[in-house]
Amino acid sequence: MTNSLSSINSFTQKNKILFLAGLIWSAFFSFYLLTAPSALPEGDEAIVLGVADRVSRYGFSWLPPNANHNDRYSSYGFFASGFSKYGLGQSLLAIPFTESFIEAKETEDWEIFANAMLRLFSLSAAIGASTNALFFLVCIKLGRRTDTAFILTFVLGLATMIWPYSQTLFSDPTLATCWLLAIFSFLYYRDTKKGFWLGIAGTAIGFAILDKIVAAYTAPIFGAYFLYLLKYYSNDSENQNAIFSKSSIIPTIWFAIPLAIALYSILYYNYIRYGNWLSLGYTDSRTYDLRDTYFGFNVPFLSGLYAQLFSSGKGFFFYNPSCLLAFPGLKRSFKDSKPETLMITSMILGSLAIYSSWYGWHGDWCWGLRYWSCMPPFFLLLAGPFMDQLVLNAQKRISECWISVVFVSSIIILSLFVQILGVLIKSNHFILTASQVEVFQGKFFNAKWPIRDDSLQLHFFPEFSPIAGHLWMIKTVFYRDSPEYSKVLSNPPWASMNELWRLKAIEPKNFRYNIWWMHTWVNQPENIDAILIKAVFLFILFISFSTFGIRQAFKT
Amino acid sequence: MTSILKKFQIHFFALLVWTTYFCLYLITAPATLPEGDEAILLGVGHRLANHGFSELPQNSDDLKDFSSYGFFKSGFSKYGIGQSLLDIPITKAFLDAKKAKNPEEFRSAMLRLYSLPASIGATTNALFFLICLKLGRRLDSAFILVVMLGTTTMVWPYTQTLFSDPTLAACWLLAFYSLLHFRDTKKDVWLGVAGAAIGFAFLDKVVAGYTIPLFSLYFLYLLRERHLKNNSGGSLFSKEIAYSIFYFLTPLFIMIGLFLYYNYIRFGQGFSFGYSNFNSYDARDTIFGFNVPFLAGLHGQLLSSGKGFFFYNPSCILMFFGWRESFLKNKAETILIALLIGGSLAIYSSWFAWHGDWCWGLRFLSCMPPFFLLVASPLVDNLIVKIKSKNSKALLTASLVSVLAIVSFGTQILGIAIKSNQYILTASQVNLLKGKFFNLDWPIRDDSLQIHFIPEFSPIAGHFWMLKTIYYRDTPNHEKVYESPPWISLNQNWKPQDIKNERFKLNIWWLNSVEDTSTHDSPAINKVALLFTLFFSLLVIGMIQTFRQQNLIDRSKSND
Repeated sequence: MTNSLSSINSFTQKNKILFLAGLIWSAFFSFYLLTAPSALPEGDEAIVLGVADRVSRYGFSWLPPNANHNDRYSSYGFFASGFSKYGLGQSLLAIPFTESFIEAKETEDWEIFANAMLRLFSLSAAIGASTNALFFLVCIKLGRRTDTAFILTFVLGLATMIWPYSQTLFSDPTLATCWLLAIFSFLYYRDTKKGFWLGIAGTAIGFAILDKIVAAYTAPIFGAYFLYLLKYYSNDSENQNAIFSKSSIIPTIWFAIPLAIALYSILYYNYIRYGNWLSLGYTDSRTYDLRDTYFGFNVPFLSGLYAQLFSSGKGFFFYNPSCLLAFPGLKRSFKDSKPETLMITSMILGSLAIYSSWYGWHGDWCWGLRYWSCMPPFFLLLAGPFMDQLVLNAQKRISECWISVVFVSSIIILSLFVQILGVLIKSNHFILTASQVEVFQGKFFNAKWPIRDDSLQLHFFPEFSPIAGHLWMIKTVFYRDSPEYSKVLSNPPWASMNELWRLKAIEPKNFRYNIWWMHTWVNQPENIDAILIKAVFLFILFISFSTFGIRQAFKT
Repeated sequence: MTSILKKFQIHFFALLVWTTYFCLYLITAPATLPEGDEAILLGVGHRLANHGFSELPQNSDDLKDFSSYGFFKSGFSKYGIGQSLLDIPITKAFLDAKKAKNPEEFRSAMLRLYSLPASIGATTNALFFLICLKLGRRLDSAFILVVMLGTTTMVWPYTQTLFSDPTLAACWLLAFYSLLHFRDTKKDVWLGVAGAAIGFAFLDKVVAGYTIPLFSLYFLYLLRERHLKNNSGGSLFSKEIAYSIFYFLTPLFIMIGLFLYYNYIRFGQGFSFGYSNFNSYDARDTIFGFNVPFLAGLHGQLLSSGKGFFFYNPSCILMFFGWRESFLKNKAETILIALLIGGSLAIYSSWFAWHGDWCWGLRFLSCMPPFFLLVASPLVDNLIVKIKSKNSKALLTASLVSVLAIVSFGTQILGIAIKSNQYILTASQVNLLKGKFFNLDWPIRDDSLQIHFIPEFSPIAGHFWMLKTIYYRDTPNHEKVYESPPWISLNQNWKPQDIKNERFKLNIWWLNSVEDTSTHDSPAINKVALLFTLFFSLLVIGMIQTFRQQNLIDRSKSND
């Protein structure tokens, strides 16, 4: 009787958690659609879409003569075969959205444009929402309270780079989803011992590598965790089996087969792109960007490390202050879940180590460190135990915790504010504006100015930091029709550094909000009604799902 | 601690610390004459020594021996007078070094000249040691901490300079120590010493004025504590309190009065400080003044690759692991220290020259390492106790602290071996920005942007490269090393074009002579050998004695 009651309870609890995850997904999907961008994707994102178009039309066969549609997406970045140097994963995901891109590009009607953009960016909104939902589930699996997990998910979704990157089609945010899915599947296997979940984990890890080759560095890390799980069960079993025993064969097959399929796909894709299974295209002069081979991994390690962590224009924590909460949580996280904490810290450090030497460590043109846009969930997982304790103390009204509550709230609010700056202005627009300033003897990389990093001022000089720059651009857009306009415009953050660096002329198209409905509202107030109704509807959906979720999470 | 340790023992150890560091800092005195601000301060010292505050005689041009710029017609400068007063006894040594006819004469004069910063540095260390004990730290950990302060922080490279900033550290530590001594002994004379030290710091550098309210608050806190302890119950304003206030304020007001008088004779106005009203010789003081965006200045001071405080003083990072216990053990003192550090950071965050160039690291924060390490001290205390009790958990912490201390030591070696100006001039040859140094056609607020912010131009990496270049000078690899400065990976166009040999030399008086075989002579080596033997013997004696003494204390405590 007691057993059946507890199984009913656990079933109800499981359903509640899944229901909450569904609510989180819906809330963030609505929210990220609400803040979808107002400008079409360019550069790498458009190239990824172009490859998707090519794959959807002709698969992996040779292109028929005159069948190349790539120039509709980007004027550069494709090989003659119609493929690119980038991983295939993101292009596979983008296949259903290529038509929306073309429609948005070709229309002159504001409403059709807005609808096409919403459809196009429903991909990144879905990826962002999935990241948040999986993060919530991983938190629960790691033993966090439901209310803490819910709060942490909202911190992740609104107060880290996850939000601004839901405005992009880069492959990096997809890595976060894949890796969280892998961790969740491992944890589910740990609890249920169902081999199927190892298959999911293997698929997720494999797809991440297919998405972006650098993700391969996580394979040994996840592999080590998988071995730990095998050992975990062998210690649990009555026979005290070694890791490699008969009982390990089935789980290993579950885990390895999808991983092997993904590996084969990558090698095959290399073959059809470069005629060589093992050519990855980056450091062997086969990419369209000469710098990949010319500079490659030649950044002094400490310089790259410094730049990723502390540089004023790219430092990870300046763009994700909420991730600082990982530090007070680290010790307890290590005590509570040692293997998982080791796995997470290895993932973070691995990424840091690899990109510290890569010439394009900054991932430009983008907001903050693009390659790290998949990392905030892992920092916040480490913050979990600290937040758990804080929520518990606050609920018990323990008076000593108020300083921590104020401190944590301030960090979260600051972090939210930083994301708003990232969402409201497209990063390329600021980069182009700031690049007009005559700071260096040369500008962008070329044969006469063979510079490894052609945005040195944006990356390192605090007055050129995109965080300050976006704030200035928002102010400029806001004051556009007021007498203050020219005063605000002529005072970019770097003006105090050198009077000669005041802008003489600006490109008006760069000074615009990067949210579809806000941009239309400012520029086409007469066409706003239908667009605004959609925005309000999405907002109401977000608020409703969130409110309902909060009530349920705190009740649970 | 002090009750168990006899007073003379404490003073013996403090003296030992002083002598040890005086020897070390003389060993590493620089090889080149001071320039710029340092020479101007010396020039004013010379003017004061010869003419006091009276007007200069007509056609008096002896200040030109010190610097070609930076003096007003009156022979004074925009800087505070404190450092110049201290410089008076060594101005002759400067002139002797400048006019020396042979290397031996030059080196002797340099040693005399740099005995001033060596003694200021040694005093800072000795006072720091005394304060550690006053704050309840163990004798052995106080000694380890002072070794960290003296050899793993900027305190060491700044003993190669005559800037006024290191003097602030000595003054503030003296004030702090005196206030703590007053707390323990109730002797008002120590309040007088504290007031004089705070006042002299203000006289040394006007910005030190920000500490006057901070120390005054701590002084009031001590008065309140004494009042509560005496349980007098009466009014706070008793005769005893009035005496204390008198002792504290009198020297302070005298110094402030002297400063206002100095302003008057320089600028014709007591309240004109010469920085932001076009009274200074440097137009940037007035044009840019305090116009740096606060957060940009804060980032520059703490996290910039070329100036960030913790990159130059990695051992000070220990503060973050000690502050909680420091706060629990010495609440008022920790608050005072935090305000001293925070105040300095806040003021300089907006000042156009927050970097204090041309110098090694953040010059204006060169007085701060002792305060960071005071906050870190409970961590070191606990660590030593754990190590002595053979607690295995201490091993990891001890390893991390040791690594940090070793990295920090290595950083100071880089700062000492090469004169910072030589690197700045070398790196400035690179055609990176549209213009170079500040002028009317290139009105830039910070004319070393690349050195301050781009990691590949960081002086830490740059000094290392210069050292390597010197090391390989007579080998076939020399050109290859020279042509590979740290910034070369950024742009191949930035390869150095012509070697200026005079910039590539070691900045330690005797190493420079050893390296230059034409002037190789034994008297310099003999002097160094003597100084080194003294330094090393005293260091070992200090280490053994403090640990032995602490063991006795521990034993007597456990017997009790």
